[in-house]
Amino acid sequence: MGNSDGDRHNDDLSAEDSPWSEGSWSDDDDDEGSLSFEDSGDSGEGSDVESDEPDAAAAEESDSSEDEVAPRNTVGDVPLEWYKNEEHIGYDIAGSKIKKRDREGRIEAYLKNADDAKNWRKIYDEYNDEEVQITKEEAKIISRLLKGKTPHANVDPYPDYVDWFEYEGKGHPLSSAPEPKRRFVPSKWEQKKVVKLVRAIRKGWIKFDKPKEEPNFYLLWGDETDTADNKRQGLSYIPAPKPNLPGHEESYNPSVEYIPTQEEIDSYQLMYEEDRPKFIPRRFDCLRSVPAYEKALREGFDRCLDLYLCPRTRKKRINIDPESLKPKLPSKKDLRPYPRTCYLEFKGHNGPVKSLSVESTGQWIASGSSDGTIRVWEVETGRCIKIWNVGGVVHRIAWNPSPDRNILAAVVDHDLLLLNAGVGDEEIQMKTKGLLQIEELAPDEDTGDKKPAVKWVKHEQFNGIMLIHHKLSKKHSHHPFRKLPGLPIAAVFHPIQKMFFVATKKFVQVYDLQKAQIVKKLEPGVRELSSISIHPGGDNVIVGSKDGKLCWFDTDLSTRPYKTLKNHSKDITNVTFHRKYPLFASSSEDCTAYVFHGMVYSDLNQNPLIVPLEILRGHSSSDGRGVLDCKFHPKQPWLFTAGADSVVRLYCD
Amino acid sequence: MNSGGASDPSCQVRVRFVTKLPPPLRAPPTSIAVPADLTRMGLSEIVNSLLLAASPGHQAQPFDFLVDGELVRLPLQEFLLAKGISAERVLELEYVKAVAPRKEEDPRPHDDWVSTVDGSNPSFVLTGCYDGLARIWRDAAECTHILEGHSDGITSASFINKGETEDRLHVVTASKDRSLRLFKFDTSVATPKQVGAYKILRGHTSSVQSVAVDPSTDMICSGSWDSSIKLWSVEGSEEDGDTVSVKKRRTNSDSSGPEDSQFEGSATSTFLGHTQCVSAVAWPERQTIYSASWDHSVRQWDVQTGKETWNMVCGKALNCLDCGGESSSLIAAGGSDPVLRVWDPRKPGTLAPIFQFSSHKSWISACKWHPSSWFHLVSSSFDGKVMLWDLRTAWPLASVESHKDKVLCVDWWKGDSVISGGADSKLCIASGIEIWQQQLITHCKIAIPLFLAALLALAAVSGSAARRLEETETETAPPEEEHKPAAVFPEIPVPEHELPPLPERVHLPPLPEGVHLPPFPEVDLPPKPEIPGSNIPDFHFPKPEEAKP
Repeated sequence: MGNSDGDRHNDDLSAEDSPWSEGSWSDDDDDEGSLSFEDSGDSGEGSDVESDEPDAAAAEESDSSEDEVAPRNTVGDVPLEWYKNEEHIGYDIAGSKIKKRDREGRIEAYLKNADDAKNWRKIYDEYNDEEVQITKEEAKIISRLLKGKTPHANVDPYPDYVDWFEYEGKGHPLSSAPEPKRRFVPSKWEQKKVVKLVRAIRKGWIKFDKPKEEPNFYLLWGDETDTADNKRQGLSYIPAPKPNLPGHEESYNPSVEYIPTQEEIDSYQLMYEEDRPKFIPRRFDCLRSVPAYEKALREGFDRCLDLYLCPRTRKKRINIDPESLKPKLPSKKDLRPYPRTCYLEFKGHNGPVKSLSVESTGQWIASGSSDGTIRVWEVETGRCIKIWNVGGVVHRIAWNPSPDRNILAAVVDHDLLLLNAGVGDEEIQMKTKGLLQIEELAPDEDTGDKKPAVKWVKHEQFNGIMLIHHKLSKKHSHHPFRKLPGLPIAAVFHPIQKMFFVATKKFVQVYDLQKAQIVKKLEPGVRELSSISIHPGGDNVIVGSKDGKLCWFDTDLSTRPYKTLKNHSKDITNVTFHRKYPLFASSSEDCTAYVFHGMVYSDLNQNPLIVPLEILRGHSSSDGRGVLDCKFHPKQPWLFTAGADSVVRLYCD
Repeated sequence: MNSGGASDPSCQVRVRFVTKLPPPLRAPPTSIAVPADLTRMGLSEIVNSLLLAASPGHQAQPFDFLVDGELVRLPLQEFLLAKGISAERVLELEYVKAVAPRKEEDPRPHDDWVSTVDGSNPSFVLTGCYDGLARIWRDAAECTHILEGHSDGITSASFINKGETEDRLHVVTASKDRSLRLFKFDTSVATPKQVGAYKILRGHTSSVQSVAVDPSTDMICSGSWDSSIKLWSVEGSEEDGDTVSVKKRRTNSDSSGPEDSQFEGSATSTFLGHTQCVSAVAWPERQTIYSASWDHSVRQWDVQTGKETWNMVCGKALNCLDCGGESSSLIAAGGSDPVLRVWDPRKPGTLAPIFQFSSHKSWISACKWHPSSWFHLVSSSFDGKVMLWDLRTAWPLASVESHKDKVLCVDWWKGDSVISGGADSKLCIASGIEIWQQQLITHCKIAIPLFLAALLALAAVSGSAARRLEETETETAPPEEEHKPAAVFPEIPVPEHELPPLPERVHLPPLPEGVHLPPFPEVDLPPKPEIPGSNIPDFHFPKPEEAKP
């Protein structure tokens, strides 16, 4: 409040307020700092009398805070007793000290009070260390407030109520009519509805959801990381690896066996630093004598560093039984019979036995060797019953598959020999003689420059001696197969249809004999093919390769191998299917023969089942060559193998 | 029960030796205590010493011991443990003469592999050979006749016992040339050593593998590679058969001379059913034929109807078959694996073999029951061994290794010898096998003198069967007289200078591989105690002269 303003007020009030100015300061003289309005309470009545004087504009003016003058002192809201003993009361806005005024004595005060009628309106402002004279209005307001009245006299606290609402013609939402009876009678409609629901519930038309049963047991020691919260995707909680728990050796008084001997401690010095044990157990008599662990800080730091720096990832641990990953193969016991043990050896050749063939009834086998002989053996006893000396290396040998023609075909050097085996019935022998005589019209030793027409006739007649055809196709003389992409390696006839499979170095080509054209081309994807065999059903073909791989083709499925078996360490020399049992075998230069179970199901949706059964050993290596040929017995689950050690072996179940 | 006895250092078992052997070989029936770890050899030693004490002229010989019908092949203690027999009671040990060949005769050489041998005639042995010739050996020593005619190897041959006198022989041979031939000749006339067939039986379309003769001897049956079994009549339809065949032969054959006298016969009936080579046939009774085949089956055929009455599949290609044993109703067969199996066709519902013997190493080529013993079998194998078997133990009784190559055929001869032929072209004879004719005695249940008298009477009255019995009986009852013990069983420690040297090739065979005995508990056997002197009287070996009865 401005001084000038205050002065003006003082002037206004000074004239009237003199009579009851006493007593205001009378008993307050020892404590000048506190202004007591209690004393001035009774003087309010006087102001009440004169309150009609000030105008409303002045009262309004005093309300505004804008014209309040900033205090002289700038010390802020600190206890003023801090400056009690000082010379100054604080600092002005320019930073200079404000000196304390000299105190008036009691007498002076009394005199002033007596002299000045307006003195009772003066108040000592301790903060600014000055006397302030409040105006008459202010004094009035204070006195009214003290009395519990409104600050301004012209405010009517109890004005008359003016009822602004118009009641006439508006109607009233609330009626004074008594409540109707229906409000107190149960609803018939509701009752019907309830009865309906009750009936529906009774009859089971309404079904309630069962409360979900929550298991009331849980894994007490279960892994916390397995809970649902931790399994959620994204930023999930990865627990820090737990530090090792302390063991017995870390006790302050471990058992003697944990304490390393002096030699052991010495030997630690020889170890690399990383290998040295981090902690050497020691014994102390009592816990009190245990020193502070000197590495505690270091280890704590390392641990924090580890946790901070080491990236932690959630390891996807899948609990899979390794056994369940293995393909479920039936046990070997259930797949019996299959050849297992060698019981018979056919000895007599003087050179590697390059090829063998079993007669269709299974009574005899024929073998051709590089010592220039062809031998016929009796299977039952292992007796050699016939020897032909053909004077050349016998590459391939085969019986006529038809039981009523006992003809042996053999590839000797560059010739094809047809021999009368002379083992069958007399009638058959006569027939065979007749057949061979016909051939003598054409040269018996086929050197491959016969006309294709003749060969065709012969082929039909013999109903599939594969060697003639194979041999001829090798010579590129047979007209259907002029355009072979590479040297033919082996060839077989389809067992049922008029088809013909030729294995060249890289591919297997399937020809239709009637149309004389390629039907299919199988791509084994191996280095070099060596042999081929066809399943008696006709839809499955196995080929052996020179890198020791055996490929199984399902010709209905794909031109790529259904399965490739890498079993041999050296070249596969021959592969063969059994005609009756679900068996196939492969022989190799590594002196072993493998026997497999190869089941082909009549259900086309079921893939063939291949189970390796047995490794047949027994042949010895000679000149780096092992087993050169293998053939199954046509009726028994037996396997004949021809070895480079000039022995033919028979493996039986 | 036995564990206390086993831990006892002086472990002993009280035994009583009983026997069905004739009196000079009967030990006193008192019970004695013997060490529990004695083997057969030790027991045999004790019995020999007991016998010697009873009769000073006794000559030591090996015995075999039976407990509850099972031969003791282990130390007594282990045997009792394995069988669960209490060692606290007095154990009854029945002893019989050990069955093992004591003598090996020189092999009889042939020109080619010996494929078949027949020892059903006590004075002659018939062998068939791969050179197409069958040979008759008198007393298995001297080749008296050569039966010619076959153009390929002989696979099977058999005597036909027609009740003729001993010097008339009747023989059938089967060959790989798809025919069977019948021979008839007089052995008393030695001049034409070569004999031709009087009848040729043709009809098979592949090589004939086996032939069997009906016990009543007017029919023969044969099995062949063409998977059929054919029945042939020996006598009947000769007349109509010969005219046709001779005519045919004259028209299309350039051979002449001796074949004029030949007749050709055709099969009276054919049994079809096998799907592969019929490798063996047996004709134990008049009405039934058994056949074994490479199609893994053994079948029984009814001769009258030609129908198959029983069928059994065994899983292996079979090579040989024989019927014998208890009332000739057990079937023994071997084939393309080293196991000799014995089936009992009377057991309903099961096709499992009742006995399996698996000491051989290779295919079994032949097996034969002993003609009169129920328990004894002989088998030959491609591993070059001939083994003797007893149904009462899974171990072979003996193994004869006289062949250098595959053994192709084997048979009993005279009840005490085993003849075998093989791929080394030899006929080997191992003799001196003493098999006590047990079932004869048990069946008759008469005192032995009475039995012999009855037997003689029977022989006087009726035919060949009884005579056969008598023959075997008279042969085996005093075996020491005919065949002086050439060698005592090698296990018995008798001073060597008093006995002839041991044959080299006879020894106890090794433990078979496939034998399944119950596992023995781990028992620390106590050290062998000394045989108490009080139990066994001192004895001395008799001089060879006084040993002879």
